[in-house]
Amino acid sequence: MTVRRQRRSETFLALGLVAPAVILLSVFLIYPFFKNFTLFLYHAPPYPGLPSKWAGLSQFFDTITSTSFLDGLKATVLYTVLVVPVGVFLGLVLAVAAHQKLKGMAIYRTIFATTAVSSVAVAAIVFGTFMNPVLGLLPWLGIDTNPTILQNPTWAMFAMAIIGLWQFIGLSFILFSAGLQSLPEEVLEAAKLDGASPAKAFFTVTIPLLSPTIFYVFTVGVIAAMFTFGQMDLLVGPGAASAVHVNTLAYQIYQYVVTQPNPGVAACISIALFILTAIVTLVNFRFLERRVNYDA
Amino acid sequence: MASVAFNQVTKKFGDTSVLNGLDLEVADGEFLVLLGPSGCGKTTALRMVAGLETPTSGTLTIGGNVVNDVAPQHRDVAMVFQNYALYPHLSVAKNIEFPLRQRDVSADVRAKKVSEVAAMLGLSELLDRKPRQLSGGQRQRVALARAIVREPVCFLMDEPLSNLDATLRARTRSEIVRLQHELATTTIFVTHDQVEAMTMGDRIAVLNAGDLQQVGTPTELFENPANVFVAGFIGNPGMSLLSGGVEDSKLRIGGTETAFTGAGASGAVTVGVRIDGVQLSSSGIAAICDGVEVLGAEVHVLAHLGEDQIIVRQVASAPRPKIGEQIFVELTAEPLCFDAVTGLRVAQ
Repeated sequence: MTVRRQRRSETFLALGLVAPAVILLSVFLIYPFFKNFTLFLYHAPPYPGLPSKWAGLSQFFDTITSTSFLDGLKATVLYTVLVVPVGVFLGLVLAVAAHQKLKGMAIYRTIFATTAVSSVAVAAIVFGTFMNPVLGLLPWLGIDTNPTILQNPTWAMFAMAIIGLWQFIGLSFILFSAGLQSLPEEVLEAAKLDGASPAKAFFTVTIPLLSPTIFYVFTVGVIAAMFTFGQMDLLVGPGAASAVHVNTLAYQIYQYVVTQPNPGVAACISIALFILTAIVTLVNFRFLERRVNYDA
Repeated sequence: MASVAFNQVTKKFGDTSVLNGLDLEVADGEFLVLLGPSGCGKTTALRMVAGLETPTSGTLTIGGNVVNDVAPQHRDVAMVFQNYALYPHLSVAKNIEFPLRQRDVSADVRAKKVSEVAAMLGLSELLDRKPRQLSGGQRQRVALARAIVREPVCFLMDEPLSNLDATLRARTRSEIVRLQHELATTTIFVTHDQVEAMTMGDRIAVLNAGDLQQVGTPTELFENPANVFVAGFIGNPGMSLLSGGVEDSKLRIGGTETAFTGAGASGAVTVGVRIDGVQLSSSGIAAICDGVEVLGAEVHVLAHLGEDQIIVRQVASAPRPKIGEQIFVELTAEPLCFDAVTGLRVAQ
């Protein structure tokens, strides 16, 4: 076989190998992403099949200045603030606890990590049962909730955040456990021999060495939190979500696609959420990554 | 400064025994080398002094105090690790001052000590750099500086030269010896390299499979090895060990008998022959040439007698035997004899 023919066959092989991934990404990611940018420029027709009407950027600006969008933005930010910092902190604490060389730690590790692989539906059912005003944990503890937590404008978001936190801690725990296991053992031993107490060694050596993982968990957590709507849909529903302030932007997108179809508005919110996520991520990189040490 | 003593120290990991009743004393200010092949237990012994491993049984004392249950941070020992173990997120200066910070030493004193130690090790120009910006040799010096700055009672060094190239290793070797003499701090140095051990240690403790084989000065170990393991391990090359027998003041090796005056040896023995005590000749003990190693000014001829290997030195200009050719060697000095069964040295 000539070199030229061999190169050509290698090229075909390479294209064949990447083709499945390219097709999947194109259908489910690249096409929808660009389709969004055409949808948000048009008003959706009142009935399917009718032509869409050009809206330009007016639909986008109308959407992002609407009360429901601003409420959704507040709900999204509040949810993120409630879930991410606490989730990062608790995930780290549990990972450090499970990193101790004690008997039975494998069982704890499994338990802690389980929440990451539980679906939001399972989490919603479990916590929905706990918060049930008749059969739940609170009446069992003698606490009377009226209105119920999920119907309470003050507490509904906290309930959503607890479910999100429960799920996020699992992921945070797994990532921190992996991070802790990859730390150079000799450096931690050197700190002990240099006279550092366990607490000092943790704050002066472990945390700086773990900073890339902390940054990663924080960034991934923020992005995931900004796209959450599962528990809102399963436990509160589209009818009451606005009233109890849990109508996050992601949930609004879902509603404008599924329950009250208006693809144009859904596209506007999704682009706004995309821009918002990009800004938050850039801010994370700009201000937090400076403190990250990649030299370990 | 303090002495260190192992008293019947054993260490087991599960069912695997790593150290079997180690008895060893390191005198105050001494430079002791723990030498042995991989897996012999030398690093475990060192880590026990550091407090990073706990003895399964026996007692370990530093400065006369039993430290079995004392945490590493309270032992006042400093360790230099094989991979340096520098804090990657801290500058050279902050790495060096780290142990002082943990002891709440004032900023003025810290700065003064860091600057003194940095000058001693030629690191003054590098104080603001991060470890990743340093060469292997520079990192090694920072690790030494971090150990020295706090003036510990004992230095523990775990194969600290193994990551350096040959030239730098030789230079750092003499630098460590010089520093140890200046500071007169008790030092335990772990290595598998017998050249390092011979050139650096006041005494060498040879370990094999968790057992202490012999402790002595480099000269004692070289001239009077206690058993076949030490004989074969110490020296470059180690002793050639040949099966033989002693009877009626005659030593028999490979069917050839030579006069032997060594007292105490009789019956089946293992004969230890240093490269200096044997030469090629036109008659004598027959062997088959396995190869020739050219080392510049001299040549080592490798040969075998039955199952045993022997190495003979030859001047570079002499005609070299070919592989497979029969050669003859003769002993030029009285060899050492070891019990053929136990491997222990037979009194001579």
